[in-house]
This record gives sequence, structure tokens and C-alpha cells, in this order.
Amino acid sequence: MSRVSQGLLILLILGLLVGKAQAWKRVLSMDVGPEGSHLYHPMSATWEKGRFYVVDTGNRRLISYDAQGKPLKAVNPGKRLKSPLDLDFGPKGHLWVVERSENALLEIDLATKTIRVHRLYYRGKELFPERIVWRKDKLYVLDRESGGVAFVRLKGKELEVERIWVPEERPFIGFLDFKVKNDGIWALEKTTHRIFYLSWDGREETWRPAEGLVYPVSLEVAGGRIYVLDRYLRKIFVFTLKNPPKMLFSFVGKGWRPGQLYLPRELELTPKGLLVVDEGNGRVEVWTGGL
Amino acid sequence: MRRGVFFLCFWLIWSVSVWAASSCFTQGCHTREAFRGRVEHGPVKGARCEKCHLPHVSRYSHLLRAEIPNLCFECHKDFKKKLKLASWVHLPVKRGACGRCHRPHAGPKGLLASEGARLCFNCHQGIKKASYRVLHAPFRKGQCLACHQAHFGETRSLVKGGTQVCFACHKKRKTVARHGDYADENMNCLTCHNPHGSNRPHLVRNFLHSPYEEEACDECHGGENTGADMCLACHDDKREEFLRVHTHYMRSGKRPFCVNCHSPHASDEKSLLRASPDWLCIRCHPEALVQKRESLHIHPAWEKCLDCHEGHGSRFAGMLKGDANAVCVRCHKTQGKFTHPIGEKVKDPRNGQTLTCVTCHDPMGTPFKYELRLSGEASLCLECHKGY
Repeated sequence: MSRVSQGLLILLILGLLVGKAQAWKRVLSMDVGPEGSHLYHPMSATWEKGRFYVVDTGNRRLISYDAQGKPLKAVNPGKRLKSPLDLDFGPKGHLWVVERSENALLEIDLATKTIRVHRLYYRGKELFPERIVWRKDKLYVLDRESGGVAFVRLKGKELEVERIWVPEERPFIGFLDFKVKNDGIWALEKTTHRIFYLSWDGREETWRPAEGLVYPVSLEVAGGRIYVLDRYLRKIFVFTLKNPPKMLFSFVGKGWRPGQLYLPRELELTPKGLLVVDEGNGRVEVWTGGL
Repeated sequence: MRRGVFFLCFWLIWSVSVWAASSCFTQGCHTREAFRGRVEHGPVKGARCEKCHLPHVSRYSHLLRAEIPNLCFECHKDFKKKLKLASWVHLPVKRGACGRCHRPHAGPKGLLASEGARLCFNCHQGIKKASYRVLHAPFRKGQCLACHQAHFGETRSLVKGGTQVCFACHKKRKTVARHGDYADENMNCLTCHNPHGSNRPHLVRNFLHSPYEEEACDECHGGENTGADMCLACHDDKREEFLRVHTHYMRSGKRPFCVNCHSPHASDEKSLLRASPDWLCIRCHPEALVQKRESLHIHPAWEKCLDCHEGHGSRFAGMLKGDANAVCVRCHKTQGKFTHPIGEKVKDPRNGQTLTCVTCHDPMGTPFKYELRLSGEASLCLECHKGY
């Protein structure tokens, strides 16, 4: 291939990548509650049955939004929320919240307006829950005590920790985020920037993303890509879903305006797009285009 | 014939260099004596001034042929290679400031700018000032390089050979045996001993954990509690501090995570920290150090991380000790009263968040005066005051 053709090919590839990066656009922004007050230090958000749910940690409340990002309702069930960290919907439609101040999970039955407090123990040790995901009647908990992901099931009305996935590789510092997918669990280790994968048949892999990350805090896996949110660089990095992953491009940047990030905290894939929780700007945004 | 050509070339190179050198020294401008020393730099020794200098004009100071350190790397090629692979690089080396420590022409061993610890203390003044009742012999003699590497190393302190450095002088088996059953060859001596000096015998660090002081080893070793519970069993008041939105609660493994930051035996810090906060915190937050080094304006208390940040847990972003106004106003008292409006009632038009000191300032370091996030000339203000 002549040098000119090679140059053109490189330009084409670069053009495609830039085009891909530019294709991402912000479609939704959720930054106020139903009464108009701004979010303060939101820590997490999720999508359930056509609605967004945001943990507005600083204001000690949970807020629901419709699919267009319009705030619907803000609640603090039983005024029990002091430091809510994460939420998800479990069996029977109950709302589950990680309440840091009690080191507990709150099971909230919105219909009967009752709250049940669950503390998790495994082999005599109390867990330190950070993030939760309900999937197919099983609860997955990011546990800071072990650094791993706990597999929990509901036995009657009580939670029972079946096992905790802690990677075999040493040294292991502990996970910062995880996602449960059809093929297994993907988890991001703090400080080392390694990504661990556990397939449902128990096979474990360790992936190290390409250099360039400084302080990654959250990951998402979708459409043959790994998305990593960097809190320090205020960017979302997109990697190939191959080991070792190669960085394709990054998007979003530091700033305080809509469409910019200041202290981002979490990434989550929803049917509406890639949801980004920005604690510093008190904002939850949804991005689409490149998926 | 080939031999003849070789000798001709050799003679030409030699004669040109001799001519060049002799012309530098013989015209009455540069005296040869000024370039003499116990050790002479190779090119100086060979009177090959042209290796580093141009005789007529140069775009670099001192008529150098190239910029420092690139000029140095032309000969010291191996050094450049090693530099790229190093985990931690001494700051002057990283900045390519070879001349901070080395003389270019002649000097003591290593062409150092001054001998012994005097050179190191030019920058490391804090260590020089420390007054200890008992001094480690190499420190007393100013032999910094007995334990430290000058250019790069595996750790930030550039200690030679990590935990094994002490055994270069202190016989391993004998030293370990003197510590009883709990010590082993891989333990880090610096956990308990200060390698420079201490007010205690055997260079044991000044503040002791009470079970260690009382020789109640069993309180921690061999007790029933594992993980963080080992520490929290006594320090129960700290448990609540970890139950906050932002927390340093970590995976424990075999040892409680608390000992990642605290020494269970002895420390130079009252709170038994393993090192001063600017060293300790940087192990996991190297980005703060990078930001500092890339900034022109840094908060004067940058090194005192725990003045503004919580060590265990906080409900504020960045693990601050309070909201970003409360933290600053503790010292900047007048700024809390008259300044650009800040506080609960003043909202940032860009994101609707409460306007605080850190809306405009970044104490961790910026390129702008007063650690402003953008230039105070206009661009920072225009972020919000569009009409101006």
C-alpha cells in the first residue's frame, strides 16, 4: 500500500472515531426535584418500568422522573434516609436502598409504606454494602468489607449471603463498581484500574484497560464496548471489549454546565441511553448515540 | 591502506579537538585551572569542549549545543533508558534539571555541586531541621546515598532495595532474631523505626500504640477479632466516622485495613500515621501530586491534607471536613463575611448548586493566582456574568 493510501486510511479511521465520539449527545438532564429544588450530591440512579429513579443523597430523598426527565415525586420513606447511597427494585416491586448511616439495606414497600431493615453477614462478619443490583431474584451487593461482590438471596423475609466473589488474583484492593450482565459480572478495581470478569460458569478473567485513566469510578459494558467513567479527568472512556482492551475514544469533559462533568460518580445503561450521575454538578444526564 | 586511512581520521579528530580545547584555554578567556577538580567530566578531561559547547553562536545559554537534559542524554544513553522504566523519579531528574545537583565540568565524586548531605538539604530542608536525640549513623554523617538512590527508585522515598536496605549494614538473621517471634525478614523496619533519628533508643519512632508500649502484643496478635474489628474493638468511636457517604472503609484481607494508613506499633505522628499525610495520601491519590506539580499556584497548606479532608469518612464530596465554605472560613475568617456572595442563598447559574469557595478556587493547584480555576482577569467571572 502506498504511503498516500496509508495516510488516507489513517485519516478515514480517525474520522470514523471522531465521528463516533461526536455522535454522542445528551438527550436528558435531571437536576431538580418536583418542587424545583436542585439535586445535591446525587450518588446513584437507575431505570425501572419506564421511570428514572435518582438517589438525591445530599437532600436525603429519592426522586422519580418520567422517561422525558420530568420530576414526578420525591420521597424520604419514614424519614429514614440519612445517607442513601444506591437503590434498585427487587421482587414484589419493593424498593431497596443502601443506607450508609445504618450500614444496612432498607426494603421499602411503597404500597404498604413499610420499611424492613436488613444487615448482611457472611461467616460471622458484617458486610459493608456500597452498591446493589437485583437480577432474576438474586441480589448482588458490592461489599467494601471483603472488596468483592456478595451473592444474596431472599430466604423468606430475610436476606442470606450465599457467597462473596473475591478474585483469586493477589494483591487485590477491592472493587469500586460492578455490573451484572447476561454473560456474567464485570467489576472495576479501585486504584489499579483493573477490570475483573466472572462468567456464570465460574471462569475469572483480569483485564487491564489501556493507560490514560487516572481515577476511574464506574464502568458499564454494552454493545461490544467497555465504558469507564473517570472522576478526575471528568470523561467517559470507551474501550474495545477485547482483552487487553484498547481505548477508542473519550467524550464529555470537565465543566459545570449541562453536558459537562465535575465530580461524576456512576454510569448505568438504561433503555434511554447511558446514564451519568454527576455528584459535583448535582445532575443526572442521559447520553445516546454511540451505543 | 585501510590502516592508513583509519590513523589519518583518528589524527584529524584528535588534532581538531586539541585545537578546539587549546583555543578555548589559550586565548586568555578561559583558564584551564577553572575547570580542574577532584573528578573531571569526561569531555573536560579530554579537553573536548565542543562536545557540549558551540564556539560561536547557540540558541541555548552558555553556548550549549543542545538543551539540558537532552545534551546530557547524548552520552548518558543508558540513564535515559532506565529513567523511562522507573517507578518514581527524583523531581530534579524528572524536570531534566541535571544542573541542580551536578556540576558540568569538575567537582567532587559524581560531579556533585556540593558534598554529602549539604546538597540534599538545599531542597529537603524539613529533614535537616528535624531535631532528634538519637541519630542514625548515615544521617549523622550526611551519607544520604547510603540508603537513598539519587535518580530513581521503586518507592517515592527512593530507598535502595526497599525493605531490605537496612540489612546492608544490620545483619539480617541477628536483627530479625532480636525482635522475637513476631518479626520476619520481609517486614518493613521503617514501620517502627525512623531511619533518620528519634528521641527514643533504637530509633523507635516517637509515638507508640499503647498495646505495643505496654508489651500487650496479644491484644492484637492472636486475638479473636479479625479485619477492622481488631482495631474497632478498642476504637469504637471511629466506627461512626466510616458510616458516611464518602468513606475510606476498605477491604481488610489478613490485616485490618486501618494499618494501610496507621502504624500498629510506632509512628512519628500522634495519630500513628505511617507517614506525613502528603506522603501517605499520595500513595493512593497520585493525581493530587501531579496536579500540584503542574500548577503555578498551590494552597500553602497543600501538604497538610488532613487540615481540610477527613481521613475516615465524610458526607461531603472530596472527603472534606465540612461544606466547602465551612472548611475555608475556619482560616479565611474575613472571607466568610465580605466577599463575592456565597452560601446557601447564592446559586451557581451553571448548575444550580450552592456557590462556595471551591466554585472559583481549587486549592489543590491551578495555573492562576489565588488558585483560581480560571484567569481572574475576566474568563472566570464571565463563566456566570455573561452580560459583562
